[in-house]
Amino acid sequence: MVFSSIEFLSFFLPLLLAFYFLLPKGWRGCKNIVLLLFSLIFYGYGGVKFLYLLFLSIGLNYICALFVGPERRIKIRKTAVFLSVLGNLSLLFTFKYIGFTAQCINSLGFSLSVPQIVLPIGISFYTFQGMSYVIDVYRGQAAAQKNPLWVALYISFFPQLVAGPIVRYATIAEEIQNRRENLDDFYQGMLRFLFGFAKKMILANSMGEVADAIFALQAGNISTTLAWLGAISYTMQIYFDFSAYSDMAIGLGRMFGFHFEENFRYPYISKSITEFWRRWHISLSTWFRDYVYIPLGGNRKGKARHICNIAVVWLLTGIWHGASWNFILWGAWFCLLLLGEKYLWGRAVERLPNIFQHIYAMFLVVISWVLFRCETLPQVVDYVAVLFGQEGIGLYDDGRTLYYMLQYRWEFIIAFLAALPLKEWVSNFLRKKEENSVCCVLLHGGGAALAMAFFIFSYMRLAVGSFNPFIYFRF
Amino acid sequence: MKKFWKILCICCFLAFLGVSMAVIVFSEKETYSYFENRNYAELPAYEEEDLLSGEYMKGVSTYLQDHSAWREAALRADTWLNLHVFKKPVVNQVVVQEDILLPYLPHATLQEEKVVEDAKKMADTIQAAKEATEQNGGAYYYVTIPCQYAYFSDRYPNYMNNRERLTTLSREQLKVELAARDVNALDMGEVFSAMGNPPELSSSMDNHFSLKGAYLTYQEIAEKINATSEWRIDLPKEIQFEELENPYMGSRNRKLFGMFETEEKLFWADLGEEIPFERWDNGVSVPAEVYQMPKTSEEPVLYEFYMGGDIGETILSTHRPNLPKVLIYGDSFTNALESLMYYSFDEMRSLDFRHYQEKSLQEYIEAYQPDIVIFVRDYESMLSFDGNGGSVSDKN
Repeated sequence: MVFSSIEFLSFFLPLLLAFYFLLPKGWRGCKNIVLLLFSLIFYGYGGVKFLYLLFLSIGLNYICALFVGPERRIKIRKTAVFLSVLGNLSLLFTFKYIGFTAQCINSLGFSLSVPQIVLPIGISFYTFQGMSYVIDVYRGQAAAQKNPLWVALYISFFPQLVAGPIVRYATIAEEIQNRRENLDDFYQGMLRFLFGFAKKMILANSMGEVADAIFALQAGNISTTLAWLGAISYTMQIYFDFSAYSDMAIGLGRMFGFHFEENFRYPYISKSITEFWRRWHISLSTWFRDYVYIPLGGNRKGKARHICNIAVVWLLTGIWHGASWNFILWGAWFCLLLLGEKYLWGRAVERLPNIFQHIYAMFLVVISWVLFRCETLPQVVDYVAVLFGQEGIGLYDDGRTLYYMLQYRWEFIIAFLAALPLKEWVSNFLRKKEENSVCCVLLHGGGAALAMAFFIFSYMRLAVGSFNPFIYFRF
Repeated sequence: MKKFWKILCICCFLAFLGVSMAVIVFSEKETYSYFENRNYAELPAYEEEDLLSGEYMKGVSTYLQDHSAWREAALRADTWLNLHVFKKPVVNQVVVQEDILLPYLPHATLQEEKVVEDAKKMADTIQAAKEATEQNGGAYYYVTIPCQYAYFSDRYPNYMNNRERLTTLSREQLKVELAARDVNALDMGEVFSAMGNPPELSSSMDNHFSLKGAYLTYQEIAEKINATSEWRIDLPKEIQFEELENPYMGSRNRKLFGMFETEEKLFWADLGEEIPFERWDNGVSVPAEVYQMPKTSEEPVLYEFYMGGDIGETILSTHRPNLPKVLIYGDSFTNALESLMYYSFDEMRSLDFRHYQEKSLQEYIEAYQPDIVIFVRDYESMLSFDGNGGSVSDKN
């Protein structure tokens, strides 16, 4: 099930809110069971058979965590954490990478049969959450949860189950058993959900229509301007799509008293690639930092080892996104850029005027999304060639670029504005002028009024639209 | 105050969710969407296997999407906003110009070789129909008519595709191929073009020609038949076109919920003399009418006004055995033509192979033995092998 669907908005959410909040305040266990059952329904909606895999992941991590706590012997702890990591990665490998691996082996001249396995939704997210739970317990950052239902709730909690953010167990361990829902959290969570919903329905879907139409064309049939429009549209789509999902997840969590970490901090205002990755998909980059990069030694073991560690992290980040050479190339691209900024041109970039730093960062980010969006390596090569005027039908085309720009002009304008921290700027401005009654009303009620208006408009688009795909479901 | 505001906002949100659920559960379920011209999705049949794979819930999602609360209001609001506020060039797949609504044609690369090849294949198909007709003692005619986007191709903004190159190449190639096969072909685009493409011959709201355009086509067909066969086709001598006062929706304005203001009206023809006839649709006797007259003068009308829309098989018998029997087959362009052409024939039969399944064209011709067979195509479907463009021996 997706958040931006009729079944979620008109059935799942109202029923869950009713069951959850009609239970007396002190019945924490019952409330958690309601959340767990609804989370399983949420996941099972996409195919009941995939629930077995989720149960397997929950069972594996629950049992392993019981044996990795500091009270156990070190050998048992290490064995349990090893089994957990091995089990989780095996699940991930079997369902996500086995086909790709077979294809790679076959390209070397072998003839293995390539299994056609349906990728279970959200497997990359919940296996990473499961691993983080066991590792956090192993490291002593959290206590092992004795109640398997609460482990199940942590791993399967519906807001972050299928597309993140990747929530650390330590972040919400306390809140699973001792949270306090309150009016302010519910209100703030609701607003966050409504804005996320609007981002998805109004911006991400529109940008996706443009990007999908352009990327579906043969590179030989598109112009340079159209190729750039496609790349920029996809840049907008992936940000608004994914950050919208995170907004909705964070908002929904907060409505039920959970406080998830931020996953995006206006990444497109970055002035370098290093900064971009501090602002983009924060839960994934910190996961790799804490569970891969730092255990490998980070930057503490010399330049060569540091380069090697960065390369490992980015190879894994690339392949985490999908079993394809594109994603590996995409990871390698960021690896090179980050190392370049660290050891080669980072200082020079910092000396540039701000505007040029932004242009530098966004130029590289847009190119990175082309690598990400293309489905095959030859398509990447062809598309990038068109971007730089080396292939295609020339600089301008038969009117397609103008058509998309005119047809989606409002969405482009709003998308560019929404990628900026306008909300923060306006809030700060209003806060400074709070003594003015109009500013005071706008500060405290403007956001909600805007969220409601956007929600009505977004619901209209939902009821109307058939174009409604979530990008991050495939990871 | 702040707390009250928060509670108010939360209540509004919760009320919206609750009411939307109640509306879906308790509202009467429509089965057909008039403005979208399609049937709504039905609740899928339960299969355990589908539940396990997720297919069942996918069907449920589609069903809920179609029956979501306030869906038609949302569609109307979305259309209105796109038309009047955002002023999008294309709304609901319709290109909105000042005084005309055209279909949105996605950009596509012209594949010249394919057009040439398809024209040959289509000409072969038409030749086979011609031979089948002639073997059964009849004469065969192929008529092609410009659809709206071709008729008004100059009305597209220059950044949009109007398929002009594709249309021109298709017409040229098919004309050459049909001439090589000695098929009596009539391209109404040439006739309309020689007249300067007067706007009143095509609709500004719909894909089809107007009744006046249909009459001109009828005249040209009659001339062609008179010039190439033993038959003498007479036309009505005192025909008059009467305007229907009802608002004309047209398929394009229908997609816009009738929100585009237009003065265009439909016409019906007074043939100047009474021609009694009987009518059967798909073998069932129906009232002897060629116009589907609206019940009130306010009711919006569509092109289905002519002959009641697309029907698999229609028979109009005027019981004048001295006149020829005609078989007309083709898409909906035949409808307006048929509402006039029955005047000239003893019996007029019309087949639309998108809906008719009982016999192939060859079988039908063999059984019916028509004196004249007319195949009516428009420029969009000219090289399409689906439906009426299929093989002479294929059943639908």
